[in-house]
Amino acid sequence: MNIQFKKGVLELCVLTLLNRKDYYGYELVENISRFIKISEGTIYPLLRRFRSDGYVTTYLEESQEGPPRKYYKLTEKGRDVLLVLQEEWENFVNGVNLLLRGVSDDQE
Amino acid sequence: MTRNEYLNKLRSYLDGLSESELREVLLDYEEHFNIGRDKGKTDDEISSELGSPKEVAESIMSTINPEEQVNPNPASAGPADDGVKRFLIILLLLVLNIVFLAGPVVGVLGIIVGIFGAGIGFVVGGVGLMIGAPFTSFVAGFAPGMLTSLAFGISLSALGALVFILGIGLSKLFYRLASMYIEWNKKVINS
Repeated sequence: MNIQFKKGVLELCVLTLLNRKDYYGYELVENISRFIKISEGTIYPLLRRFRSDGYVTTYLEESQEGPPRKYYKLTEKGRDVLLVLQEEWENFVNGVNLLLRGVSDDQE
Repeated sequence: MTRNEYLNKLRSYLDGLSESELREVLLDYEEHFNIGRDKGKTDDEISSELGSPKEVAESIMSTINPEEQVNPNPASAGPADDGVKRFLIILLLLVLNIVFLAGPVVGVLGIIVGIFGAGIGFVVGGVGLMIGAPFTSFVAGFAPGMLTSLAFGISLSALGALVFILGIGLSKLFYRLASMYIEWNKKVINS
């Protein structure tokens, strides 16, 4: 798949998950790779960019199992971006689906 | 690849990052390895899931580098950059205008002023001749006849008026061109 395209989809996935709850990096990666195949290492740069763009904030929280974990929390700005991306995605998918099913009138 | 091998490889691909940046980046991946180990994965599994250190480093450099290196303060990266660009464009236009345009503009303005001067001179001269016409007969020697002087005075005044009108036309044209050029400059600066 086209790398730029995949990047955009990945952004949408990360923002969508973070809209449900705060995640730490590993958990986020795990949840995404359960559904789609990614190079897991590329999620962290994405999260860093989100932070520098103000889409997410981070905080450390202790865990029972080991050292503290870095959690990511969606900001208002991040939510706004998510809404835009969601709409773009839905329009795109709907369009492609219509095209694939050959719904257009000029075929009949 | 073990955790440390992976982190060292990653570090070697990440030169250009500041020391604090590098530490933060490596910490993310270290945490990833540690949690993966806790969940019972081997370093090899975790490494291959992460993707090659080279690939990961490239994706880090592509997202971090432009902001962090060009401008140490990401929040102000956009506007500050724009300000500098704008300033440079204004400077460039200024130099361009002074070097290439100032001379010709002053020249054209001079020509227009000259045309007005000539027009006024002709009119004044013509009127003078007309006024002087009745007395020409008293001037000794080569003076032309009264009627000739009168006719010459009238034509000179008319010519002066024509030249003056030409001057007005040229001024208008010049004004229009100048304001068009200034508009263009503004557009370039604001784009």
